[in-house]
Amino acid sequence: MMKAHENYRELIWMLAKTDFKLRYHDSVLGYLWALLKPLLTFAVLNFVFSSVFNPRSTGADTYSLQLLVSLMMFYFFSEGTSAGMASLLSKSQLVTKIYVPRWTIIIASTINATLIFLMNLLVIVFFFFIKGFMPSISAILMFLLFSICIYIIVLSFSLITAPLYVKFRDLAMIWEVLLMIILYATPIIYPLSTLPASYHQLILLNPLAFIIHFTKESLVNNHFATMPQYTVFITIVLGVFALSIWFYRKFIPRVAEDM
Amino acid sequence: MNKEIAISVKNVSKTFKIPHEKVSSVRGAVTGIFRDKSYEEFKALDDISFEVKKGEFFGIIGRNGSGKSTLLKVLAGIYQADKGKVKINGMISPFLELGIGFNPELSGRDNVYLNATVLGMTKDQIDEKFESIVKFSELERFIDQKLKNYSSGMQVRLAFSVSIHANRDILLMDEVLAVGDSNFQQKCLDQFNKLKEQGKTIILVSHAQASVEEYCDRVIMLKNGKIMREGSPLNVFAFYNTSLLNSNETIFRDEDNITQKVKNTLKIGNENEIFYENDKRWGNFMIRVEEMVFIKSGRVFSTQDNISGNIKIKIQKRIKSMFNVDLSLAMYNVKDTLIFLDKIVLKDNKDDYINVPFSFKVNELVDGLYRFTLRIAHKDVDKNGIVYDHWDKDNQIRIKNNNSKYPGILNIGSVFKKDIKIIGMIRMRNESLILQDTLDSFAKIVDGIIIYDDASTDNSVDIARKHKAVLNVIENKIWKKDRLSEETENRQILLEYAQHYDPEWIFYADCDERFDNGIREFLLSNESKNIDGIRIQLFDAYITLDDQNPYSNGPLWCFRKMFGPERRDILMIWRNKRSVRYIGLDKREPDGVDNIITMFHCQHYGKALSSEHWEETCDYYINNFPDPYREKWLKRKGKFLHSVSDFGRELYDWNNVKRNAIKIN
Repeated sequence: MMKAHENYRELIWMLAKTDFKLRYHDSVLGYLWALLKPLLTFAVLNFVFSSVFNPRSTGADTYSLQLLVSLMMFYFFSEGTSAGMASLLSKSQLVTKIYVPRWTIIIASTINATLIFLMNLLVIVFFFFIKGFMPSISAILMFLLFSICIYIIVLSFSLITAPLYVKFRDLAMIWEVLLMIILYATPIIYPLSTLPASYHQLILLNPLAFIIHFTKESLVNNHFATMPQYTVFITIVLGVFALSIWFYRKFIPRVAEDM
Repeated sequence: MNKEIAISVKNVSKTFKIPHEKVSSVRGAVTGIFRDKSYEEFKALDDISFEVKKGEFFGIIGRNGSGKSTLLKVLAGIYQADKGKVKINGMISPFLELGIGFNPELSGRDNVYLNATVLGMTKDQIDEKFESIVKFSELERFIDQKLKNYSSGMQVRLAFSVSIHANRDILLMDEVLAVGDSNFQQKCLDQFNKLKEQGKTIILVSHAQASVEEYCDRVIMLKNGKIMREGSPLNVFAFYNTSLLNSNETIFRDEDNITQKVKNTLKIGNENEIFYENDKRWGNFMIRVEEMVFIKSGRVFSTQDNISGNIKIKIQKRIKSMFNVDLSLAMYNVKDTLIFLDKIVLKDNKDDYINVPFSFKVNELVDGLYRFTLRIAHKDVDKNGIVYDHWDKDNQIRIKNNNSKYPGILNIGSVFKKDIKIIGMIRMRNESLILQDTLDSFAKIVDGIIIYDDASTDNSVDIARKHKAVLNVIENKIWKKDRLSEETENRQILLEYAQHYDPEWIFYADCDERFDNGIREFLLSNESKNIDGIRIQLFDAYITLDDQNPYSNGPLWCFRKMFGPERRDILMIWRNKRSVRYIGLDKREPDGVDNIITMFHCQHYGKALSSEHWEETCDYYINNFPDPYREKWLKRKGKFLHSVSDFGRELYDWNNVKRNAIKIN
């Protein structure tokens, strides 16, 4: 019905670009800051867990590489979901004063986190290079596939929470706390093997835990999940995505009224 | 869908649920499950159907809360209708607000790209039109500065420029034109006309009657979410205005006043407290302005209009004495220059409400928007600081003045008297009775009049100064005794002053003389090319037995029926030359004019205005002139009624007197 736009791609790109400019004030140093935040976290955690504690107990000397990769992935997830959830409210003008498809606003807000993640990939490559560690081709492909899956999860989460956040403003606080819990409930700073084996299957039902665990395993140990495990994982991710679309469709028509 | 239809709305309804308690947290939502959900349903749109043709300028009017804005948002796709169908045939561009997505931290350039993209333009289109967008906004020099350094006016200009260039087929506008200075408004109005010419479909939501009537082809009026009337702007507004009258409500209320009502429950303080309601309104609110209402829908006034209305004041908390409370009303232009300020002491009628009517005219203000500051304060506010309610620069009106060509505050017409071909000169003393008519009729012949006032004691000078044709009044305050030489001197002063204007012709007349038609045309034509002066044939009018009403006002020409046949030919008009001068005693005619012809006629009313005037004239000559003048007028005193002329001849009516004329000078 509404033919206000035919150039969604340009619109999304423009919104994302604006976000990026505003956040880092269009300066080179600004972009560096974007990289610095996860790197500093990595440096601290790496120091704490591989030097202060007994490195033997946390795993091999590939620990720092594993920590780096999983932290970057977690940052992608946490930045993406936070921005996605706040997207509609922070761009309320675009919702209440004009018609642009609301999903363009949501997608645009997740692009920023994606860009930073892509830049972080360079950092990861750099560290692997320094350590002289070369993962297998299939492991790298698996890593890229997992990255796409994280994006799908971020998007699904945003499609659900962006309209909800308009109504329930304390969602941001709740999510902040949950993110911290997720950080520790996911085998990021510790390997899954440190937990009792009976918990493994349960923890791996969390797609993020699954992604991070098997990224680490495949990149460093060239060890992959089993076919049934992949099937369950993919089903969950696609299921969540489908659910989010249904949810978005149900809640978005009245979103302007709730602002 | 029919290709000629741009918008089709069928049976559209929209209901809002307004919860009594707004839940805005998860905690509230969770605990709320166990409570009864109570909310009110508000039917903003109720079964609305209409169609807008392509190229139509379509207006939506209605009071606040009638559903206009909701309808616009449904058309724009921001709200979704609960029921019914909305079909849009073409690209739509909502102007609900200018500068959507504008961000103060970005440069003007970035904002143009951002805003234009939001409005649906592609990058290529923006690249192509960028220069034109910037040029229209007149912000070439500032385009790479951050938006936060722009004034609000600059921001609006940039935003409007982008919106105009978005070039959609269907435009939705929600009174966006109520912003900006008058220059920019004019630019917007021009754009309106252009869009109309381009055949764009435009939907305008407004309660400014003037703009709707000027632009819209068809109008619908909404009331309580329903279409009450549909048709031509004239018909719909007639209904709109009467329906407002019948509903026993004030004729016009604007948005501010409505929000004012809602805020009425706000704090009321004590005398020495001050609350800020918003950046425009502060005071202790013991007494507050409830509303300012204009007795004209729209709020667009011409300079001739009486701008009148009522200020309704509510006493929220009684104070001891109202004698010390002033209401002041000040008007400002858009540049915040004070136009006027007036005060009145509030009259306590022991009621909770006081109505203060107001009315004023703004004859010469330039076209533009004006705002009012209302203030209720203690009369010694400078000392004690007691302000009950200060409402700053709000309640905007538009004053239309089609004559304003240039900016400024006043439109006072031309300052430079360009091109005076014929200048008129008058010497006068106490002529207030006939002066208005003298100047009116003289102004039809000459381009400008200069006057020598010989110490008038009545309001002749005021009348003269107010007259449009009068260039200047030379005032002589002291009256010398020697009238004969002085009158000549007065005329010479006039003549020298007239020559400053470098006219072609100079015309000297007395106040009690009225002239034939055609003098001006003759002077400006080729026929007068070889003539340097004109003697005009002057006849005296007389009061007779059956024609003795005194003159009070109106044209003096042919006021009396009878005239004496004695004809005096007086040189009244001459070509402007340095050599022409008034010399000698009691000289009506100047020296130095050759090539004089005698033509045209003059009625002289010196003896025929009224019996009182006759007596005054007699006394003037008797008291101030030597013999033989004195002797002559002494005999005439008391004899204002004439059956024959002062020279003993038969009187004639105007048509016959010219034929029976006897030249006497």
